[in-house]
Amino acid sequence: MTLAKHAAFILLLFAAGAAGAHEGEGLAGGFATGFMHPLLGPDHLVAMVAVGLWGAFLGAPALWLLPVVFPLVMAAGGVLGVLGVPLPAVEVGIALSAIGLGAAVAFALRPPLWLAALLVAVFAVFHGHAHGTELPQAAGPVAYSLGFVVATGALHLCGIAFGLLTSRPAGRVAVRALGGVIALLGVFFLARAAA
Amino acid sequence: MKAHVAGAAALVFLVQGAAAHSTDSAGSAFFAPLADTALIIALIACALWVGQQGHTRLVLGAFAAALAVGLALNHFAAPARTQDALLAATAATGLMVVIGRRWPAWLVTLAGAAVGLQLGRGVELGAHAGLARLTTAGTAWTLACAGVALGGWCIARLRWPWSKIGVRVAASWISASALLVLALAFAP
Repeated sequence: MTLAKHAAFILLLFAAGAAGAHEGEGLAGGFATGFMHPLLGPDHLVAMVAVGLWGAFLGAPALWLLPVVFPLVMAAGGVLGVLGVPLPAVEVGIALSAIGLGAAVAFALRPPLWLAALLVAVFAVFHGHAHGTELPQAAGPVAYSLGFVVATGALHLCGIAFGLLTSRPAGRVAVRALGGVIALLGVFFLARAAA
Repeated sequence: MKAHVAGAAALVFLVQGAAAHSTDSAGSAFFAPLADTALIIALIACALWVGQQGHTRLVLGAFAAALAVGLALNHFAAPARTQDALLAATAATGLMVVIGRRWPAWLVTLAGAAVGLQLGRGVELGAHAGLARLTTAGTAWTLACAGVALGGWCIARLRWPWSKIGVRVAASWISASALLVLALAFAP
């Protein structure tokens, strides 16, 4: 990918951020609040980036399949949260997602596609449940849910954009190192959740 | 060249974000009937559907007719739980886009009609009466039909290598948010 293409891609990611400007217009519980939710939760944030990184590492079709599977299964987890169905150790599950996905990138794991999708789907349920339990309190639930789904997707895109560096040897090392950092952050989140 | 187009598209999105802060009340009033997130995501889902599946004339015809019926129902009978039905139609249409296979023409048309009908029932016609109410309904019909037709036309002509995947990713986002909010109807 050329530098110009990278620049255009990054510009597109910034375009997604423009929606945050609505926050000051009183749309509390709306798109802006939902959009900021995954961005302000570091445990969500690193796991979402890791999904994109891993997708880029595995290449097509995982590259696009994982970011498609994640929001849909996350919605299923969110439905459980909305309906009040208890899910044990949600915070632990989210921390484990950062550890698992980060480690998968760090160790350059290449499982079969179905297994990668299943792993991502299982973790997505925990993230979705955490979002879903907060949805009933949102003033504009449709805008809120769309906001956090779009933010989740934007984080996947960030991970994919960075993960595309794997086409170069140095980039491959950088991506695996980032995976390691994410896994370590996951250990921190796990310790915090268990405390 | 493709990078330049992507960059230009990003800039357009940025400019559109700024335009959302416009204080043009006439413009706001014009778009008011469709200024609801559930309606907007339904329109986007339908545009993605048309753009991906083709059968444009059939689907748009069914969508426009069903939208008119929905608006008429909305006018004559107080709508009940319209958002749930709209979200269900949106989620189902989005999921079919995500799956990405070529669906039979009758199903493509039926889905367009289902979204159109529920969209018409969900439009906020306000407390106006007579001609003002008819104008609001006419505006909503025109905007929705034009939006789906234009969106579908643009999507069908996307030639970037990633455009087909982008359509499915966008549909997955729309389906996910529609499903989540639909669950609220069954929340304890």
